[in-house]
Amino acid sequence: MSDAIYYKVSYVVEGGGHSGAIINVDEEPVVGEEVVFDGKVFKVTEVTELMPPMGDFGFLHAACRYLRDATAEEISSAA
Amino acid sequence: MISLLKKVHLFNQLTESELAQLAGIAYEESYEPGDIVVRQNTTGSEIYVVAEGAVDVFVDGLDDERVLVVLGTGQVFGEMALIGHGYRSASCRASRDGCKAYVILFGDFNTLCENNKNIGYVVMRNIALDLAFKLRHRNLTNM
Repeated sequence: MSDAIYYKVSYVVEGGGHSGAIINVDEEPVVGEEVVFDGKVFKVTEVTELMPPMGDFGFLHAACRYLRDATAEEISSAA
Repeated sequence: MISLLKKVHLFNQLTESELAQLAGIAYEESYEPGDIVVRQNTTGSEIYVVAEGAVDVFVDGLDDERVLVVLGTGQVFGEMALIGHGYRSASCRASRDGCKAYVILFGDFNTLCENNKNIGYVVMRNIALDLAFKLRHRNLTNM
């Protein structure tokens, strides 16, 4: 999507049951992957550019859907 | 610390030398799960960068507290008080995994910016972009 090295991602949870998260990641999120935040596992359903990239950063919006509560291993690997 | 600061959007497009100057005025703090890092309606003189873990940003409502967003690695909070010199607009609590943050005092930051106007320009531009990003996130969350 861009030459960005880092991505600032706005994760918005479908259905409004969670306030979502803003997290910097090294790789662009892709549809279908699982992401862990707030002790929960979410599945990414859509990725779009939220603002044009600048410098080393891309600015993305990722819609996601709640899957399950995360295990301790999933939480530690996400940290 | 510089390797993390490179991943913080607030410091995007600063040089290695400028990042080193910022690292020189930052110190590390660790917070246990549930610790209140910033409390709404209080004054503060620090800006925070999430180094590990996350914080829950919440406001005290009429009925209960309401979480606005979870801020993970690389995110900044406390910056609104830096700009407006007013009360904290929301509270921030270390999330269930705790949080490690780099803390920069406003006074130290302002002195650095006075001595290097480019740092001041870049960081203030990035704060504006960060606030725009957070506003867009909030708009999408409310859809």
